[in-house]
Amino acid sequence: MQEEHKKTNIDHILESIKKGELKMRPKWHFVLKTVLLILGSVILALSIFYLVSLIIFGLRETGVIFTPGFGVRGTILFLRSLPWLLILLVGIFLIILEILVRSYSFTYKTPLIYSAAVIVLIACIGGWVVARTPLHAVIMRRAPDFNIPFVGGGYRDIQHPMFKDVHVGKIMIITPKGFNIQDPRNEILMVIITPQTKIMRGIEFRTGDHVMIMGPRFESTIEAFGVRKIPE
Amino acid sequence: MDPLRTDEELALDVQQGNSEAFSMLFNRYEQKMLRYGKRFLYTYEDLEDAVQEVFIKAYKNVQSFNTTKKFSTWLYRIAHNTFINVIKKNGREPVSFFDFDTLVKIPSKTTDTLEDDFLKAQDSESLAGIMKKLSPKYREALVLFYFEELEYKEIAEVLKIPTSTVGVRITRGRAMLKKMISNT
Repeated sequence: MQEEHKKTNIDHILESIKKGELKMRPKWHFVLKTVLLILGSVILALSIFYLVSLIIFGLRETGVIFTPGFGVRGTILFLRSLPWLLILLVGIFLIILEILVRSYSFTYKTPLIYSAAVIVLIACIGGWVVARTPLHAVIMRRAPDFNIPFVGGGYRDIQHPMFKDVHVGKIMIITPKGFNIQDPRNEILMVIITPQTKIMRGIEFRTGDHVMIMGPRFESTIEAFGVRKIPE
Repeated sequence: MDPLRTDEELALDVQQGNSEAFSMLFNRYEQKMLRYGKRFLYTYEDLEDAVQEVFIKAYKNVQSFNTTKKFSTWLYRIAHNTFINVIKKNGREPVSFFDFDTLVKIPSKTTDTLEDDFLKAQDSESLAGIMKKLSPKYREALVLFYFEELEYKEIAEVLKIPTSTVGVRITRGRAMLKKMISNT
């Protein structure tokens, strides 16, 4: 009885093969699938590098990256100023990338937290490397002219930041109370430095220095809570 | 056809269009798949259809099989996916999308002689009856280890999880099973 059933099952499959109802998927189908998977992973990884580097570039250009150096107040300001939407997008991309590479034995054989940590680390290093290239500076210069879709607005926001307590600019003149800067909107702002202003010891400000100032702005005057030079 | 040909050689023949070789592979593995399905799926009625589905999928996707690797592991992987789909379709048992056991490396004892001896002392059928009360993830790991006699590494390949997680599932499943047996 069992033998009879066995024959029925395999005969049914063999008959389907003979009739052409059951066909093997060709080798190229699997090759294509693998190529698409690799391509998808590479595109995703490059997108992550781009977005992470954009975040780093934006934080550096707007001066926000230096705010944690000004203590608790600076750290709170830093957290409030982070581009959370971009960070969320990077997070989603990282999850998709983890799912994609999880089909490979080198990832599913390792605990999820380790492979995820490696991916995040690679994303950070890759993003940092890209951020050190002139890529974003070049795009930012062209963004207003060419109206680059999707990213153009982001670059304009970096170029003309709207942060309440963080300001960047170039020192135009040293004044008895501090100095005057020209910000990215070409506005001249007067920076007042008091004994309470947090400045790194030994730093001297000169005309032409690029600086980041943390502190409230009243019309065209900034009461500096902290000042830091932006390295060229 | 030479009955001494390895599974991998037969799979290569199938890739080259030899359906007789597929028939030989079917004969070698049908009982194993039925046994695996019977222990894993238990009360599910459509077991034979599921096993037939395993072989149909194997034939369709045989070109994706790397003949330098073990055929049995590849086939068990197809069977695992097919059986999980049966469980999901029936909706009687929860199959979680994410398994926290795969998150970190949890050290587990690879052998627990006391519990092993205890389980071995049980009647195979009564053990099988109690196993259905376990959740699918523990049940499957125990079935593959104790009944299909796969190694940890092979089970990890079949389930696509870290080897350490296989150890965790077997250890926990064994402990649960022992508790259930003690309570009966």
